[in-house]
Amino acid sequence: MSKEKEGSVVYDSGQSKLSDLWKKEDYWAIWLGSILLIVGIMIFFPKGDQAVMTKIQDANAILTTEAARAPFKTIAWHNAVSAKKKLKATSSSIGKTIKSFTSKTKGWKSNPIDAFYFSASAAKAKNEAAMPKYEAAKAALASALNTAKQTEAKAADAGFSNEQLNNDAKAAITSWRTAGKKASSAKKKIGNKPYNLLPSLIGFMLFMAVFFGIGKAVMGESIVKFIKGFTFVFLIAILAYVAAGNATMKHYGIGYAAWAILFGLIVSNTIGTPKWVAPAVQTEYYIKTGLVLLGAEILFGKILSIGVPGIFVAWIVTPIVLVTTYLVGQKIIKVPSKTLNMTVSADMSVCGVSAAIAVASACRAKKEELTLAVGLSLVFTSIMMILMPAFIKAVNMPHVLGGAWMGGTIDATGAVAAAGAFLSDQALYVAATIKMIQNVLIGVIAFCVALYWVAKVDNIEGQKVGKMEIWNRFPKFVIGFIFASIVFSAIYASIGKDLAYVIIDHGAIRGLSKIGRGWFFCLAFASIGLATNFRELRSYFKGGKPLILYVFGQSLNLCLTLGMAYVMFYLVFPEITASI
Amino acid sequence: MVRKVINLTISFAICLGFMFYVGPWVDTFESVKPLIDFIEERDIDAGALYYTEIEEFSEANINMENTMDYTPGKNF
Repeated sequence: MSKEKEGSVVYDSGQSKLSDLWKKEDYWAIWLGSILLIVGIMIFFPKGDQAVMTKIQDANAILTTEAARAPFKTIAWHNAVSAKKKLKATSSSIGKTIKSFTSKTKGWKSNPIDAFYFSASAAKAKNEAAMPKYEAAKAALASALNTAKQTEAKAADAGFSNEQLNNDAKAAITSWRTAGKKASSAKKKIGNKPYNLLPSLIGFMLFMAVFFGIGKAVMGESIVKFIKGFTFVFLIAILAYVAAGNATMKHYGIGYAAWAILFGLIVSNTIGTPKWVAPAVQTEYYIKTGLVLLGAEILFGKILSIGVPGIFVAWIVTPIVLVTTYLVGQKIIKVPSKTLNMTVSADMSVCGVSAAIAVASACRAKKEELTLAVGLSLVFTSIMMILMPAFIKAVNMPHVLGGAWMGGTIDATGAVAAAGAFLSDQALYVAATIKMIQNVLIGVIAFCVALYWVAKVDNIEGQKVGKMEIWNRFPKFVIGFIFASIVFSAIYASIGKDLAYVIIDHGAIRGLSKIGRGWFFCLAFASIGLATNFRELRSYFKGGKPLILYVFGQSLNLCLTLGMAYVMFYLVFPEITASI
Repeated sequence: MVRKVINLTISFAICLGFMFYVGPWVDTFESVKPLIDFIEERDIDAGALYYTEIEEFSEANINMENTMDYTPGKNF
């Protein structure tokens, strides 16, 4: 591809060739991602057999009956949903085998060795220590269930026409559900099993080295040099997972992305990234393949999960905040780099790191710009995760409103879950659903940003760009990303939500593609760190403009999201709010 | 080279210091302790990047969808 320079704009004016299909990294990202998605489909889709369909139908019949019988969600209603929740293709033996082979390091508290190895005696000791708490939680659950059954029966005896009895029953059922969650958490703590991850980590490393190495070999590079360098990049990724698995770091949402960049930066800016590692420092290759897999997780059917209010809060407010912040960044704050501006704006307005990755790749932002966006997101996520639930409690904000507010504004998906659950189940369900709808928006935004960049930004002002030129410049992996999303969304819509939950959500996605995507992103962030000079990174923060941009954008986001959530959930669709 | 190795060691030592001392110290602050204890009890991964990485989202999604499809009280 040739590069031409006119004025201060450098753009590619290459032509597409058939050989691009096996010579270009973007296409290899599509092929590798597609292979994993197809394998996932072949393994998990057959698990949605007649036995599963029968269980779904039985549960739905109970839900229909209970919804007609009572004005609130009864015990039987919740049990029917729980029965549907247990139907997962990943529970199959092949699903467990894949999970075991691809397992990242485990969580740990004070001994980092626990991330790799846990002996049978240590597992037994930990289970015994946690047993009293589990027994107490189990007893509390049994008592709460008994109370819930009695109060529900009283309400039923009154034909569900006595408001006080109905409210008593609802409160008792809520207490039963809370006790259930505590018992479930306590049960996990007595289920510790011994493990030794070293053999599987080594095996998986070799698998991934060959998986990516084949593409590199066909593109004309040495597979041997790639595999050799890959061991080091993989080691940084492992260290990142170990650090992210520390209990305290998990509390604050300091995940693998930040640690991978940090450890890579430490190596590259102290002893220097060894020359033999360079062939495997392939940020874009790993990110693009990961993004094709992420495409399959972007299921358009999910945007209706909470009805029209969810669409307005997540899909109307978010683009307004994104575009406004970008324009303010350009015209008023005057952020020197458009790609930095767009990456930070997307990271703040959409959903944090995953949005930053997708948009940075779509507009070809520099790795330092992605690093800065990730860092800003991390800091503010931790602050908002702590402050927002406290504020919502302090002002007695209704939890549906508070949940929608947090879901639409806290960047990191995990932090949204923590903050929402801390308030209540109701807040969690709304916050998580809003955030999930925002997650789905990444696909559209990445596509629009890629198109806007090749058609408008990477041009001389006034220059008109033909359709062929747009195609030539368009980052091709985005097509794989969008295509995966369209295919999986279409399958999701055609088979229905219930079966899709079993074979797509808890099948092809969580059983394989999400696993691959997580590893590939971690390798990409390790590569970013290994290839970044700290002095260059510092220069992007000059004047504090990215910080000012983030604070402005997030302030706008907080105001607009709260306003829209209030209008939608309390003025326009109060009946939806009442049913949550 | 020795200086570079020393810098590497110091950098990793700072990371460990943050993990083992600064983080746990911040955990003790009254303003954050309740949230931290809750996250620990529920084993929530606050660093998860996407909705498919976190079990709470799956639970929230299935509950919300069934609430929309099987809303109680339509006959009342």
